[in-house]
This record gives sequence, C-alpha cells and structure tokens, in this order.
Amino acid sequence: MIRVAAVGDVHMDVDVLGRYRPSLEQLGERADVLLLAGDLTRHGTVNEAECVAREFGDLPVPVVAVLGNHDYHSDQQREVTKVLAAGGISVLEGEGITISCRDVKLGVAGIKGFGGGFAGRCASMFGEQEIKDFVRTTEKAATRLQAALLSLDADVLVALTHYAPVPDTLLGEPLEIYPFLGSYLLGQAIDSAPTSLAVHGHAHAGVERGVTPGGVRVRNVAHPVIRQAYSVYQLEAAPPARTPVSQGAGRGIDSLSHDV
Amino acid sequence: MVSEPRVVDEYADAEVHRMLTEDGTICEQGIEVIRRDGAVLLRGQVETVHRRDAIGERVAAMFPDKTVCNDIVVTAVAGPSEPEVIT
Ligand SMILES: [Fe+2]
Ligand SMILES: [Fe+2]
Repeated sequence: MIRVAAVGDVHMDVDVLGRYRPSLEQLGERADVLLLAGDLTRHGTVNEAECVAREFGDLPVPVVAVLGNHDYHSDQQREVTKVLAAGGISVLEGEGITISCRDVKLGVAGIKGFGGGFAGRCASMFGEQEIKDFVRTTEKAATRLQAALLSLDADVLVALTHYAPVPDTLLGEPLEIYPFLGSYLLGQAIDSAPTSLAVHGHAHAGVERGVTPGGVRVRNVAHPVIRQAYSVYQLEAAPPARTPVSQGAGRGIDSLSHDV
Repeated sequence: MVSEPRVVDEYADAEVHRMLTEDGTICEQGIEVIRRDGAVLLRGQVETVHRRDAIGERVAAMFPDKTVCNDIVVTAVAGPSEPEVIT
C-alpha cells in the first residue's frame, strides 16, 4: 500500500507564502509522497518559484512536480525548474522517477502535457502550420509520457500531468474551452501502460473524479476542485487487472528514468 | 428620440475576461463574470483575500455604472479528508 498526496494550481506568490504550511506539517503521517500537478506559480517567475520551494520544500516525504501553463508564462521555465530542484522538488518533463516506500516501489511519470481536445471533438494535424504545431506539441508530450511510463520498473505506476487526459474531470468547465484543457492523447498514453492512477490539474472548475477509456482512475487535484491543502489516494501494490488498450501514442522517445 | 450609444455586451465580456487573465496583477483564468442590468456578479476561487479584492477593484473600474457583487471565495487549505482508497 502506498499513499499519494497531491495538489495542483497553488499559483504561489509572496501573498500565498505560509498558507499551506500548517497542513503540510502533518504530511509525513498521512502520505508517502506529494505530487504537485503544475501551475505552481502565478506568472512563472523565479521569485514565485522561490516561494514554491519554500512552501513545498523541506518536507518529510519526496515531492514530485510537473509545471503548468502559468509556470511557462514568463519564458523562465528552465530557471523555475532549477529553483524547484534546488529546493528538493523533482520536476518531471517527460521523465520517470521511482520512489521506494517501505516494501513498495512507486513509479511516477510526469509531463505538463498540452491541449487539443477529446475524441470526436479534437484538433487534427491539418491545415495551417500553427494548427499543426499545436497538435504536434501534444503528440510529442503524449509520446514522451508513454515512454516514461513504460520505462519505469515499479510496483505502482502513477501518471502526473497538468493538462487533463480525459473530459470526465472537466465537468463544470465551459464545453467551448475543453480543447484548451487537455487531450485524449494523454489518456491514450496513460492507457498504454499498467497505470494505477492519473493525476492532473488545470481545470479549476472541473470535478475530482474520472476514468480513462482503459479504466485508469483519473483525479483532478486543482486546488479549487479539491478545496483542501492536498488530497490523499491510497493505492495497492498489485497492478490493476486490466489490459493496456492502446499502443497508439508510441513513437520517437527521449525520456529518462532515475531513482531517488 | 435620442438613441443611447450602442454598448456591445459580448465585446465587453471578452474584454473583461482577457483583462483578468492578461493583467499581470490579476492573472486569473477561472473567474466567472455575470452581468446583470445594474450589477456585475463575480464568482470563482482564488488563493488570497488580496487577490479577490484586486479583481473586484479592477472590474469595478471597468463598469463604473454598475454595482460589483464580489462572491469570489478564497480556497480553503485545511488538512486533507480521509484518504481515498483506489482499488
Ligand atoms: Fe491553474
Ligand atoms: Fe493551468
């Protein structure tokens, strides 16, 4: 058994410093790992990243993060990543990481992801270069997520993204913006591996619970959705009795895995 | 009969939504702005009281003739509920 704590969309700046800290003090008793599902900052500045590192650093459990669209706003995502890493937070962008907790090896594959929409209502690789670039960005992300998931040797596999892999957890968001909230390609990547749980953020007005077409539980942990400092999900080590439904997203691969 | 200057509501809606996202002091994408005859209702969640009030002030400046009802709430940061067991 492993307990995964998760929250996203904390949108840190100096005005938020200290808000999460009282609840984080009990994290070690409640969870084995903390996942941060992107939009950690307001504008993606180094100063805001330092706030994230202060708020979510120096905790009794490993902290694993992906960035969100807000963290890219100032074009300083590399610097933001460095600041978080210096604070002890492992930032994933197409990589996998394994964490040993008691007798269970947890594997987390993470990537920000991107939009494009969902089956039957999605953008296609067609027309203007700008549209093709948009779709290609998501395809690349999905390919890297799949590779990272498949590269991990773990008892329990978790996918961590900022953008949503399914429309289920977007319920409450305007339908018109679904293509900007996530992509079915991320879901397809998640379904191609024996994933136990997919965690995402980004959809502030969505709902917490959903499932991929292949039966993987999806949890939207955007802070305005869970309305608490973090949620905790308890996972069993036995892999889910489920056959991967798709290998569709698998193409050129550039991921790496590392242990902590 | 003197006609009133034409106010195109949809453009104002677009303008306020873009302002809430693109204004560097606000940067919020999930705020609902509901316009009524004499009022503007704001709904959504933010991380701090300061952010809620800043949104209220900026929207009030955009609609000086309307009352702004600021129902934005600050998201709670209490400790977690019981863990969810995923089987
Ligand atoms: Fe967000
Ligand atoms: Fe986001």
